[in-house]
Amino acid sequence: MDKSVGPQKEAALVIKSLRYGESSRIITFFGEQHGKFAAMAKGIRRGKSSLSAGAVEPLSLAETVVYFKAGRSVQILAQAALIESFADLKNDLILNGYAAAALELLSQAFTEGENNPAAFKSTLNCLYSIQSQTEEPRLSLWRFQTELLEITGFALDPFTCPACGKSPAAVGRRNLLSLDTGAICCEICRPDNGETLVLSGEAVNILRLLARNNREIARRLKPSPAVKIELTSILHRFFKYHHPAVGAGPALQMLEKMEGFKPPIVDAN
Amino acid sequence: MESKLTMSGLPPAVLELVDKLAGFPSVGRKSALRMALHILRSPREIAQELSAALLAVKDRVAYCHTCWTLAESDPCPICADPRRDHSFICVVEEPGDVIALEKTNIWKGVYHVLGGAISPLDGVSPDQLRLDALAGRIRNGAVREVLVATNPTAEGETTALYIARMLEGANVAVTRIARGVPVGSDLELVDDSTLAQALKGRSAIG
Repeated sequence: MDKSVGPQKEAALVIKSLRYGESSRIITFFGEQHGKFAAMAKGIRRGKSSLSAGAVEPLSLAETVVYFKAGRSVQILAQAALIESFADLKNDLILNGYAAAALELLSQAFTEGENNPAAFKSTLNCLYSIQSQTEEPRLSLWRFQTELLEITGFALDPFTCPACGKSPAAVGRRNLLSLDTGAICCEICRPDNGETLVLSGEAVNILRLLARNNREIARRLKPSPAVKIELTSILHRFFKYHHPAVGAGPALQMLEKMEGFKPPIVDAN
Repeated sequence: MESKLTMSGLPPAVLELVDKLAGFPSVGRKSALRMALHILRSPREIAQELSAALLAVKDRVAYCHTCWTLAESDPCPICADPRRDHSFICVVEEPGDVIALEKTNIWKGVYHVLGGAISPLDGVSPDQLRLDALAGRIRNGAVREVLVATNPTAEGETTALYIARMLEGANVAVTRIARGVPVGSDLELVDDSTLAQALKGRSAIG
């Protein structure tokens, strides 16, 4: 982190907002330049604070002015103006759940002070993609997960078998994902050592689609319920293997619960 | 007499009090020390009244098993009041919100305190709130309207959406408190999202 003391302006996503004292909040941001950091928004819960409370709500994108000081665990937020509220996303329970799961992953993957503009951009794209609903939100979350893996140096390679260099046929074959390399191995080239996970042809095809970033096909794609469970579990295990801090956090768990949501009251009368 | 002063120069009894006071929300050790020294300097009666008040709050105050606010009786005075319209339930996050709304003297219905708001990132899920109790009240009573008065925060909005979805199919109107420009503020200083809500929720004059 920059050792200088002074106001610094940057766009930042709001990950969390915790009440502090009588009228303040401690906001966890992920900034374009500073990465993950916490800042105190003094007096923001009072209606007459000069800080814009709406700008520092979780899932918002804000232009912040922060007084950074090295060695201080909580910085001071001087100004915050709303850039994007993601209102459509916040007004839908399921989409909100997907967005929260993406922010949770971002927060787990990076420690405070670790900056990563690519991760910031990828998260922002993911939120816009979930909000626009041009594809299934599950695909947007998977794309974000694969991008996050690539950004942190553990990219999946669904195209090339690391042993023979050929592209394994996904359909009609037993596909094996190497946890060490992130590559899909041919069954006959299966590495002698190292853990592998079995992947269905549908799951491999989705990973290839995400890697090619083909939005046109993604728009039409409807993953089967079985592959939703399979790929979610595979990505979770791959993340856990390389980033022990990244797990199925409360937001992701709640999303899975909500997707199978059934209203408990059908008829009051 | 042997001195009981510790290295910090404070007697162990004062340090113990500081430890206890510092356990309260928003109270740091410096503030706790100031409070402890204030109690020490005050007459004995003040300390006695304070300890009696602390015990009384634990002995006499409990949750109302209808609305889950804090009260000295169960049901609470609001739930027991026959002049209140029990077909209108106002849902809030904390007991303090009931006090704030009661100060307006506008709401003539009853309340339901959830005990928080849904916050996926903090691990607060719907089953940790008193949503089942709310569903039970609607199932068992002739409720006409549920006014969701959770805070206008991301967590409060998520909770409101969840309640609206939970009550789909129930023969009850689900409404949300209005949001907009605070009284006495300047429009140019109001943030964009609040202003947008104020425009959407505009109402006829008079």
